[in-house]
Amino acid sequence: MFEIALVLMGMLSGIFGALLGIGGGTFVVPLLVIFLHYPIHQAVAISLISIIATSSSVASVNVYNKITNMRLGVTLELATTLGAIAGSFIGTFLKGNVIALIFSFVMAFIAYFMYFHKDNEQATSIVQTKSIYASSYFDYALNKNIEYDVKNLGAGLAISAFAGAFSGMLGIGGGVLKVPAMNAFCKVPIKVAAATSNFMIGVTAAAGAFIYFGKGYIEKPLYVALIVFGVILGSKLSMPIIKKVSPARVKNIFILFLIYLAIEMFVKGVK
Amino acid sequence: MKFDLNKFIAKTLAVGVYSSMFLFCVAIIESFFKKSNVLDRSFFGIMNGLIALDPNATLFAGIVILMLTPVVRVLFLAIGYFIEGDLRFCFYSILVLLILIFSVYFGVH
Repeated sequence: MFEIALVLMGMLSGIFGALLGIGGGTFVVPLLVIFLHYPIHQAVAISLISIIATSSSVASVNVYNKITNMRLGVTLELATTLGAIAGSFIGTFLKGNVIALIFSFVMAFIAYFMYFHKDNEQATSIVQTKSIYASSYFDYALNKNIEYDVKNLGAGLAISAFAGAFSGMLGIGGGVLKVPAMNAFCKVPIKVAAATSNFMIGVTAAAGAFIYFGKGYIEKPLYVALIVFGVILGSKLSMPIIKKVSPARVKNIFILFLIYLAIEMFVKGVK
Repeated sequence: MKFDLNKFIAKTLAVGVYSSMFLFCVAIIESFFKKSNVLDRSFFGIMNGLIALDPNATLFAGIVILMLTPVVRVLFLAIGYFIEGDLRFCFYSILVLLILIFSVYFGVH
């Protein structure tokens, strides 16, 4: 029975994450901790591994279709992996209730951000002198090739390091920080920002996962497998759902759910 | 045939994910026939368990392959950029790889 609950939790995380566009990781930890009373460090370790699985399977498609900017990805990975290692070390030393409290604040911030944020859909203006990161991708929705350049790499690196640290500490992907940052500061089109962030998340999560794995936080490998299956199944199932319902319409319901989870995590942290 | 870095990296990621999913499925089938209490996370422990068709060892092998997938992807990215003569990004990839090896080292020790 517990095994079925794990697959269901994974599926719910995959569906919610895909519908909100923030990846399954944000939901795995709170669902495991609140509903299955899972120790938070083990939940973070499982979440990081499920992030590697979803990131790698999605990145494979985006890289093949040349939407991902791999040059930008590998440059920002320098910052995000260092951040992830630092975050994981801090995370493994912190008490469970402190992580729960930090998690609840980050979730509240994500909910606030998701409610007010609007993506900058406009492509950047093409300047005469192109940087080495300048690239193009074919937008199937617009049916045309879109050229773009990357600006303010320093800001991208700083936010990537910050996102990496939260990823390692809390077992979230960090895409919720990186995608809007790449879009707003680096002037990268939103689709490229999402694909490139997803490409980096696998490496960020791996940097953190090795530390949790080595410290013995993966006690029940079967549970990891079941949740990974659930998350992958959930993110695949969400694709037809996204086509049928407008994500913008369901967004507010998920934001309310996110706030509920933040409050529950806060209560766990205070206890 | 011209070397296509994107296809090469896309295939690397797909092979990593599908291999670990395959091992997870094998482990679930194994668990119907054999109960496992083995929790040896060392390389030899996992390899010996794999040969003995131990479900936990097979699951750990799947988890390790999944965790290594992004590492191998970075390694292949470095090789790919080297083949393309793009030495700056080859160097960046090697730096990321070194950071990841640092993480693996501290994870193990």
